[in-house]
Amino acid sequence: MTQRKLIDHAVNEVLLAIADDELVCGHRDSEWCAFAPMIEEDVAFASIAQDEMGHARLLYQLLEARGQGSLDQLAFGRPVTGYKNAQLLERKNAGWAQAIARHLVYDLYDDLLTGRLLEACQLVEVADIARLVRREERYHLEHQETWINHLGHGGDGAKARLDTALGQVLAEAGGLFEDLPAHRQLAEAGLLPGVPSDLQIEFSQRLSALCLAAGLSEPAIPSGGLGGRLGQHTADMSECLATMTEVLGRAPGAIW
Amino acid sequence: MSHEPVEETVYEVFGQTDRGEPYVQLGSLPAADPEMGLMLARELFSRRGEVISLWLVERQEIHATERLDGDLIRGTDRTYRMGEGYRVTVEKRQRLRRVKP
Amino acid sequence: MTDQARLEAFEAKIAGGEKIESDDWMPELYRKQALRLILTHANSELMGALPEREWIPRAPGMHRKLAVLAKVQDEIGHAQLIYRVAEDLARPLGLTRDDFMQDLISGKAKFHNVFSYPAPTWADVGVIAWLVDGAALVTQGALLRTSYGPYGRILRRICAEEAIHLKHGEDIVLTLAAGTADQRQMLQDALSRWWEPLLHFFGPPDEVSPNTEQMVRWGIRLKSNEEMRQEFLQNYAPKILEIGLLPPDPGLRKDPVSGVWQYTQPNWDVFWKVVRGDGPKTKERLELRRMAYEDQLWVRQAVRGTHHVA
Repeated sequence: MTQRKLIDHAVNEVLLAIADDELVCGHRDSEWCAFAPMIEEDVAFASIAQDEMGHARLLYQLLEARGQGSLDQLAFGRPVTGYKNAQLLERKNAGWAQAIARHLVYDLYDDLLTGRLLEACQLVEVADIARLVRREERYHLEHQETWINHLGHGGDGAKARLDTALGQVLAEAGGLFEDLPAHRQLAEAGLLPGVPSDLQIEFSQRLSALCLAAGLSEPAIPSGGLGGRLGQHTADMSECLATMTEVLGRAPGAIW
Repeated sequence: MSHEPVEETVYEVFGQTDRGEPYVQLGSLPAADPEMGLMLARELFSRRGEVISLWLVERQEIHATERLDGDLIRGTDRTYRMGEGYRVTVEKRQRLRRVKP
Repeated sequence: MTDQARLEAFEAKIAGGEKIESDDWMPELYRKQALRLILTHANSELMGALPEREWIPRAPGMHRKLAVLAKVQDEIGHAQLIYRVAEDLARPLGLTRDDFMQDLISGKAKFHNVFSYPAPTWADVGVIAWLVDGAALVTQGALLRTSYGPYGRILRRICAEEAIHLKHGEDIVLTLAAGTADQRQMLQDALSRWWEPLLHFFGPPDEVSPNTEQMVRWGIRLKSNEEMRQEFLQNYAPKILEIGLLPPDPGLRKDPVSGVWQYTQPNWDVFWKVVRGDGPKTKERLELRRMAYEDQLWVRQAVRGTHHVA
């Protein structure tokens, strides 16, 4: 492969990892629709789900423009080993504490990923999408912060549930910060100012500060849940993909 | 553990569709506090980006006039402060035009 | 003022086309009847989210996935607007949203029959969004001039959004109608399934409800069941036939002289069975609502500060 082709390939890999994160996260969010704690929150959380899937759509469209296949082929037409999302995001929904804890972790990571790495990307179309994504992620962060503040100060029971959920989430969150060879290639070529694992320290500092303000326990360092970026997934991902492609698979190539 | 029912605050929600436009009542919602209320109001009342700004007002802070007693409807002729009270002015100008050589 | 004088003033106001506001004096019966109608509507929006929400994770393709999610979100948003109107109306009766939810879950409160039916295929999503929402738009459009001001105001926004849902549903239907033989069959099957519930939608033609007359007089309701069913058939039957779909009723035709749509009466025993809470999916969907309500109780208690030991 020529250097040019290597870089193009690396860019595609990196974009795909972000798009898959957003898709799977938005999909799990959307499964909450109609079952959130209050009707008002149902509406709010469904908007966040649309934002996440909307980000995935933008990124897949960019990949489409880069000759990687159509939007829907990219989003729904790959074998499970082709998906590069972090395992944390594919895990089944398990209660509101998990929903908020996982989203907080993801939104904080996404804010750093877009703000520290992607907005500084030398490829202008990547930097543009990153700015747009980050603008909405900031609102998501506010949303999760409001929730952890209320649950953290909402009595011992709620605080304990959130502490436990955050512990479980962080024990699978290591995969978010996993570097692909593609990340390192882009960093070495000067197209990205760093790699995802560089974000971990700032992530933990900010998460600590948020937890402290919300009256929660000191959060653990993200660990575990590795391999997603390389296409290794849990059974939850196969289930997720089977659900997402149930109708599409009925008549491949048909227009829906 | 006992659960004493505490009523949440009801907020009236007002939104502005564009800069310079008046704030219009959009609906209401119960919320634990303004922070959560604003967070929820944003999606409840601007899913299609209908408004650029929202106000939350505690309903109990709204002081309203009685609707039934009609005090706001003026009893005496106030046409001198309405546009239609000056239709006659147009006629005066037309008459003057006709008189002028 | 005596109650009689108040009642006369109230009825004169309605006769003059004035709206009743939440803090106005109103007869107890008006409050209760309006509340019942409004709560049934709110419950229906909330329960109506359930058949379609099953298809959000399975929607074919990114565009459909986003559109169905947004549509279900709108329905829940409608439930929010309507429950708020109901909450204000129910305040003097000492009832809150928690009471509404308890009544819904226990089966004491009603929701619309049409949301007791299964949605087994993607084509059902299109038929629901086009025709069930179309039917809902007829009934809600008929309520826009309701005498209860707060309800009429939110209905304007709701109807505007429902009109968008119709387009979303019609787009799914037209896409399937132009699709493969399998897709067209799926669509025809969905229409055949929904036809009877759609005719049931507006209620029996002879208006057996004793409340109806009073509700029409007080301007809470404005059109008869049969008027609304005819309006629905006028609007949608030609569009259904035009795309080659066949409603499962050989008797369906427009009388060329009177312009009235003739149709075979659906089985009204089935209608009453569903009204009594015995629809094919009634119990399953209420159970889902109960689980969601109870699973998240700790969250609401934490947020409201009701977790504290008294």
